Amino acid sequence: MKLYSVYKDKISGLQDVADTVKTVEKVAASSVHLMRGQVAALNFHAQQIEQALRRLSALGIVIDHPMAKPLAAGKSLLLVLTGDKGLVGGLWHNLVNEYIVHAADYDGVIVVGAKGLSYLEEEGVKVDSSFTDLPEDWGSVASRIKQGIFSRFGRGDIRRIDILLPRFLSLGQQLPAILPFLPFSFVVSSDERVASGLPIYEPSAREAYSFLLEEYIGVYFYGLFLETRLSELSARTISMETAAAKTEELERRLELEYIKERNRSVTRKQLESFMVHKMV
Amino acid sequence: MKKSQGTIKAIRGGVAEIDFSFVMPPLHSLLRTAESNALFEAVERKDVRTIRAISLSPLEAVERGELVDLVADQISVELGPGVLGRMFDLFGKPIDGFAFEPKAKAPLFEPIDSRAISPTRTDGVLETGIKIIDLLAPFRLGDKIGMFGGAGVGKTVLITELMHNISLKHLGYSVFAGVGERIREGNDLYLTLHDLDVLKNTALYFGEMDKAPGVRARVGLAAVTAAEYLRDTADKDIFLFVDNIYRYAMAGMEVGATLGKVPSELGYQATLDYDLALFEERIRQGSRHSITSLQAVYVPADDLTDPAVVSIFSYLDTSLVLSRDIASKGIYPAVDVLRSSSLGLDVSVVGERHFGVASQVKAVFQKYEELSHIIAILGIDELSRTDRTTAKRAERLQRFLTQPLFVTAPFSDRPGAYVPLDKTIDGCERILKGDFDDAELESLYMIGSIDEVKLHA
Repeated sequence: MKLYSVYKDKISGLQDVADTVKTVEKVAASSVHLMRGQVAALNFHAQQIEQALRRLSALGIVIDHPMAKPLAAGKSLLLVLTGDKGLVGGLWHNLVNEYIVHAADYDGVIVVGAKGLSYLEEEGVKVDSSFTDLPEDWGSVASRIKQGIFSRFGRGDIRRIDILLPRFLSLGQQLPAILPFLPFSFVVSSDERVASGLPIYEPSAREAYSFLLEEYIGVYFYGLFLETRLSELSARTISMETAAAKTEELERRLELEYIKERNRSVTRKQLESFMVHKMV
Repeated sequence: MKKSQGTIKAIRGGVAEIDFSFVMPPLHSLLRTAESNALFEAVERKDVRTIRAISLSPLEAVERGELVDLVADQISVELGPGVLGRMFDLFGKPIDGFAFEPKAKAPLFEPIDSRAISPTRTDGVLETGIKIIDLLAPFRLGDKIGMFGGAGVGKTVLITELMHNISLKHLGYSVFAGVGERIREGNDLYLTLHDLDVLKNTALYFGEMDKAPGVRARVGLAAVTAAEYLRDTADKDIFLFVDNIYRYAMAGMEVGATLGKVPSELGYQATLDYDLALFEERIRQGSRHSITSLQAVYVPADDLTDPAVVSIFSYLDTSLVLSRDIASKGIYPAVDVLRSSSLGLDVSVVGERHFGVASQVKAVFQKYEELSHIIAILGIDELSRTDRTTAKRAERLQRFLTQPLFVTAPFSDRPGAYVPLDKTIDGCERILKGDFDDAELESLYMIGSIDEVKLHA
């Protein structure tokens, strides 16, 4: 006879899993909320810079910033933005699949996040450099990577850098996408070139433009990091929500088995007692 | 009153207490009431003058004080070359409405000479044409094979399919013992075997669930006796099918209860092991041919630790465990690979290639089961590439090891398939190599050999 108490242990184990899953879901959901605020603030900052750049464009300044200048020689690299944490396997796998499709277009790959690194290595991809053990605030990492890339691009080692990231469409939908990054393209149409206010720039309009463009690229770059993080947290929220529902379903099934087994055991014991009593 | 006659003193349930004042009949002798013609088997001496006998026929007409005659010192079954294609009761009397001319009589109980028991033949595998059995739980001639499963997981269907395939390949004759099952099932089986043109190679013995427990406890022995007779007279290997050996144990339990024996664990008779040994040890090989027995074992409440089930396990060379979880996914035959075993799956019996592929398939299923909780809760994307590949191949192997059966063709609208062992091994080998990693799961479902995949794709 099966010990029905075995089911109790199984149910208890499953309840622990359910609690963990729910906690992860709550943490992810609250972080999504926080992250959305950060993205909104960053977007506002980017709009302000963009507005200033448009005013400068109206003065007819020629864009010849080194980060915007196309290069003929150098490597073509792909920066893959992932994360360090799991429980969003589908999200990271989709990025890796996207990379595999476009792998031939690049001479090398740089990976951010331990998960992306391990998934790419599983597929036999040779990674040029990687950034793992990411802190909660990705700003410092983004800044470090940006400096490295800028300096290599400035030296002419790299002629092109694209970024592969999970684009955030909604809480339930994220899609892998490759965005061109360097040489940076900032195009202002002639209709948008409207000068307003007093055009006084210190030390000069050209230097101000150069500084703002660099700032804008940095903000854009950091924005992609935040979007990756937002996609990861959203995917984790949904994934954990599903996992919580599945765990509850498994728990319900086990509880039913437990009750059936317990009733069966009680009935058998009663029958045995009854038969022995009759014999005696 | 003759000196050999007795008198019925009492009847309780299916047990009669019969007083023999002059000559006591031997145990296991056959007794008959003089007027109502009810049959009994002497099973126990109560005291120097009284024996206790279990009924082997209905008792409605029996009266206290009725005289009882000793019919035979031993219960025997009537036999003859004409048993094939026919249906009989415990005594070898036909129950299909046709005449039968017996040529011999053989006793149900025989002393077992342990020196006469020869070991199972190990000269290769008995091909059944059922992929999952041939690959992972191969049968050998002379093996005792059990098919374990709760109600409705496919034991009877699998047994009927095996009877069909054995007849199809002219491997030998079949003897079927219907022990304690429904009358309808016996009727269905008879008609199915007739439709499949297998009946002519099969002899059927029935003691259905409406019969007295004494009948159900003895009809299996009648079938074994018939199998021995055919083995020795027809010069063929014999396949003895028993549906259901658990009902045999249940009948013993009922007999024990009506005899007033103190029950053992879960109400089973204290003589459970003895009763099973009486049947199982009777299935022996001859000097030239063997009896291979395939026994369906009902598992009460799907509990494989039930004492009767555990006792049956100990006699078997091959155990096929049929799982309700697997059946509920539409995977038939619903064999639980990880809980099934076979002594035949040995490198010295099946050869290196077969053994290697079977071991790999089992390893893949084992890993898949370990991963199943992660997949169920978090989804397959949480697995590493290696584990995802393992899961993918396990799913494909599981689908490939399903099979359309001849027996179910009228219901499933899929013609049955007999798959040679080398085709099964070849298919599994290719799936393990990854040849079908990108194939649709459905294309591997309910097919015969792997060559059919393109047709379904």
